Amino acid sequence: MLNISPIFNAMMRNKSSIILIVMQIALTLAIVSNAAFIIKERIDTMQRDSGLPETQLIGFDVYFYDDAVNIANQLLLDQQKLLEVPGVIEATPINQIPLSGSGDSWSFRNQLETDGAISSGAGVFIGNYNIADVFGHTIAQGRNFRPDEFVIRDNNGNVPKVTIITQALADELFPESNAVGKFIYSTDIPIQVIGIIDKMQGSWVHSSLVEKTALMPMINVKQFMRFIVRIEPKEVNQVIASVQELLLALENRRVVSPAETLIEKKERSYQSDKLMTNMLVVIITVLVFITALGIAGMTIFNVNRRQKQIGTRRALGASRMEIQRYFMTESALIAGLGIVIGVVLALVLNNYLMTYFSATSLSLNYIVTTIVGIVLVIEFAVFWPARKASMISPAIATRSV
Amino acid sequence: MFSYYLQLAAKSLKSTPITTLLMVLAIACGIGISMTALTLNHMTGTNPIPEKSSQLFAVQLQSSGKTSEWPTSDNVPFQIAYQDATNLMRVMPKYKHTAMYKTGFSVRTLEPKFAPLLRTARVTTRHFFSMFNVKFLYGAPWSEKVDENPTLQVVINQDLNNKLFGGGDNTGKEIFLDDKTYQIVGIIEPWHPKPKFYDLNNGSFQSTEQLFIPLVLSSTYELPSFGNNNGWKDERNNTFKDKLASEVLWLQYWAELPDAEAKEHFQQFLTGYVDEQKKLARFERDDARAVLRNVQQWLDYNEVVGDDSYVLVAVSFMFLTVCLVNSIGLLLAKFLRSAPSVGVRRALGASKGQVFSQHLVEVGLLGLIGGLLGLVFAYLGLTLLKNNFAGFDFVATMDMVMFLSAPVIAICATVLAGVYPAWRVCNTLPSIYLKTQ
Repeated sequence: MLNISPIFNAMMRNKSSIILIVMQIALTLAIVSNAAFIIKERIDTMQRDSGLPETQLIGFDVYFYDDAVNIANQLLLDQQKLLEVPGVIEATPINQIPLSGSGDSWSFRNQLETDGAISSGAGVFIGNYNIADVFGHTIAQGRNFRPDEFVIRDNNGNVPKVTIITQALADELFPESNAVGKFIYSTDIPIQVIGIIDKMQGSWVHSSLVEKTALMPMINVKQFMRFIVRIEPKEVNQVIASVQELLLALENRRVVSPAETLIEKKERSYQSDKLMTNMLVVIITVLVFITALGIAGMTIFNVNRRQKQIGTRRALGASRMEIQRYFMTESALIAGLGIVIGVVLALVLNNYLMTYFSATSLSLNYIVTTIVGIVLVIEFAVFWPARKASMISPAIATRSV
Repeated sequence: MFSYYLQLAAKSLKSTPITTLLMVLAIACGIGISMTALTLNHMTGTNPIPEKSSQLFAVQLQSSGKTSEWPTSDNVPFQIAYQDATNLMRVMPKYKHTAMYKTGFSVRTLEPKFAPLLRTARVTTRHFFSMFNVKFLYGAPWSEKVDENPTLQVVINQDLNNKLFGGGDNTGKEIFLDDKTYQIVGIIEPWHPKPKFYDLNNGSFQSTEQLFIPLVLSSTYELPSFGNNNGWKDERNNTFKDKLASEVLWLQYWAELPDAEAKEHFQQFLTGYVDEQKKLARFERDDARAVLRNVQQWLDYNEVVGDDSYVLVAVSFMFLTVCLVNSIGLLLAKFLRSAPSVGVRRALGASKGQVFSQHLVEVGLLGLIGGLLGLVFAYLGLTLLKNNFAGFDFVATMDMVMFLSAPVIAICATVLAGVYPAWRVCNTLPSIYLKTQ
């Protein structure tokens, strides 16, 4: 009923332009499915839950340059004064800002002896005993820090005695039992796990350690310190604008960097992923557009070239619908061929990306979705030229043949 | 003849404005996107010191523990320990070589009202400047004596000189770095190697430091590292002195070795040093060794050009292929439609070769227009990238190579694409078209 055989015969009379369209469809399918897959992967990475109220948290650096300043006392005073600022919910001096791309990681073991121990790196956030509250965490298991557990580490060798860790770190170090109450070891220092939080991303968003995080109630006194502050959403901009001045008024023998929300830090950390997705989105969009225009152009050309034949068919009794269906079927056949080759190409390209560029295996969903999209675009592109063909008057057949 | 063909080509392109527009746009999009991706790739991988690339060597030591793992292809750490750095500077032969690391200071003039600036600084020896071709605007590096006896001297760059003093020759003046006064001995010209090959630890396109101070001050004034500090050994480092004596890896080391002989000589010395440390049981690995890499090797080893960049280039060139296939199809259609007039010209005596080259000229003209428009697209693309991605302002800039290659690639690609349609049309049999007219 679709009369595939005469359509096929007609196609074989014009092989080169058919081959070109088939190639174009195949390449488009291979590129679009792989690019869409990469885009989806990157977007998923960027949209992971960081476990942090990013819009409400701000961070900034404080650099002390005068030996005469008692840094620990000053930081505690700063904290107290920050808490008095309208809109500020919690604040603590800290060693690193999450999602910022810069910070400290320590190595932990699940037992004192190195032989047979499970060890894992983890981003370590050290601040006042309220550090879990600053990040807005609820303690899923165990308890929060107590004020008396807070220590100040100067060159005195003080070490933290307790820690709250993320579920991800707990699962890594204690795969078979509950971590609460257990000790983890940094070199030979035992630190007791007193609580577990569900999730908190560390400083390096592309690291395998990103969700392995530990909190500790300590100030490790250095010239270069940071602050993290949680603020009521409405007051964020106001606090950012005033915080530098406030701290310098308290002690001006230091440099205070402009404050930034974690959203801004996060955007910078994901900059290369965003660049990649933007480039690929542009490529896909233009590619689909060009392919559609190309196919439409070819069909118009074919319609024009076959005007007389079409007129003859119409004169011999073919309906308009039949003419239109002829071109739609022809393009469907071409698309089918292009899709078969395109699927193979897509898998080859994915395999190449996996071999050389640590890509992951292309999920079939992407190929299927791309195929549906391409078929729709092609039929849409062919619809108008085919309609135009069906408008050709049978009288053309009678002219000058 | 060529100009006549060019006229014919222009006429032919004008006669089918929509097809021409489609083809030009397709080529321009293909060129625009692939040039954008290629520029990012090319600029990221540019060798910032080509004139000395093969004479400057990064020194690495496999000094870590038996089970230590490093994110490098040969599992050798990027940096070295302070004790190795000082040992090497003492025992290595006459060639220029230097250890270095990044620190930071608050910087003020002696003017009490001056609001302090936080700036990174490079702690190194005077060889740094001549090794890396750093030019001085005023003054000179500190003297050899200063490299041995702690003296508070500093070299600053022009930006900082402008910021502190509003420019001019300020050598001899003093500035505060933290709470100590340093004497300015030199001011360097703008120097921004990208990638920042001599220290790639905190990102390949970090800005260069604005201050340079003698390494010998490090232990006296306990200047902390602002860069990466990689510990692998179970050791407690409570004080800065502990850190200096520890196995923590946090310094970079570079040597200038003018020829193969020098490299061989230096490598021998390094091997001797490693053997000595092995005997002392400090280097515990069986594969403890020293590795030298020149600048280009060092950039490749550090994978300065990331996977993403190559994937983008591959995908964008596939995209260009689709654009060209698209244009071949349109060209074929267009040329075959003009077959009747070609038939007439053939019958009037035009040779196959003439018809062929006439059509290739038309394709070439198309490629040139598409390529130039593509260059505009690439420029727009790169400008968009620069404005939206703060970290890409350097790599999203076309250098001369990129600027010239865009039209060349466009013309070559379209001419290649045009060969088949032109060949098809020049094989037109004149008789077919003459019959029905």
